Amino acid sequence: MEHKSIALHPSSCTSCMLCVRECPDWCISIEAHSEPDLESPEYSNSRRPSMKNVLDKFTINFGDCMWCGICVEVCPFDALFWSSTEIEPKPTAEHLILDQTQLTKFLPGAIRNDGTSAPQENDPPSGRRKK
Amino acid sequence: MIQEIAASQWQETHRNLLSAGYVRFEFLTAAHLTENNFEIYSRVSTADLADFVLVKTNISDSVETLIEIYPAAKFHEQETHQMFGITFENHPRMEKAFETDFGGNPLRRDFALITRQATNWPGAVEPDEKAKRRPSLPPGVHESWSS
Ligand code: SF4
Ligand code: SF4
Repeated sequence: MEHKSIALHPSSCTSCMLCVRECPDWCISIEAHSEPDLESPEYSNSRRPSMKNVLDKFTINFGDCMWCGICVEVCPFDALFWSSTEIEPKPTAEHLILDQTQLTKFLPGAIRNDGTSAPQENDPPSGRRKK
Repeated sequence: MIQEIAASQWQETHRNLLSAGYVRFEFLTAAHLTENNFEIYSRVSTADLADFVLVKTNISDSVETLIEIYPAAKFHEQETHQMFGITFENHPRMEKAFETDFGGNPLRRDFALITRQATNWPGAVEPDEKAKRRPSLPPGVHESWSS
């Protein structure tokens, strides 16, 4: 497949920060907060509620990205995928900082490492985390 | 083909390669492994580019020059000298290759990148502020570099 962009499936992302920390170019950034996980079975019967991270903003700066694929490899929750959808030309470098809405648009051309197609926008989370 | 050799064989190996028909000197570069340990590489190929050899050896901080065998090595050795601080013995002009003064040897591991110091590492964000963990530090960036 052609590696033309990196797609994000936001509902799969647990804001674990692994991709942000491993990216050699520091071009991924995340804004997230944590809140009580109301759906967790432990929530009602434990004194300390289990918490989950909620993603607020996810950006990849494709002006800095060197297409190394480390972020795709490192994501343990199958939220990042190589995509064959091309990034359109942008007027300035700042426009190459794409957020989760724009990264979701690359999902139609995205595949997993095993060659099967990536989850689409409204599909449930693909990784280990249950909804 | 890749040939791993001892540093003492550096000149001799290249002399043999030249007489074996590897007449094109393509490039020479290095990698900084640890403090005083470098790997140095050269690539030579046949005139028709059909075949090449990558020669590779470990050195501490100096190695013999290849200029007498391959004159084209002159600039590459100067560049490697400027980038890594490696000395090429008997090189007639062991000076910097580029006018720019980088304030050190930029491709050494201990060279602090200015942009790294001036940029905040995005990985410092911790979504769950109550999760008491040791603050994470950027991998590959020495503690003394952070601003
Ligand atoms: S592919 Fe780009 S965003 Fe991903 S780790 Fe490499 S440089 Fe960073
Ligand atoms: S590694 Fe995957 S799950 Fe973790 S923050 Fe990055 S995209 Fe989200």
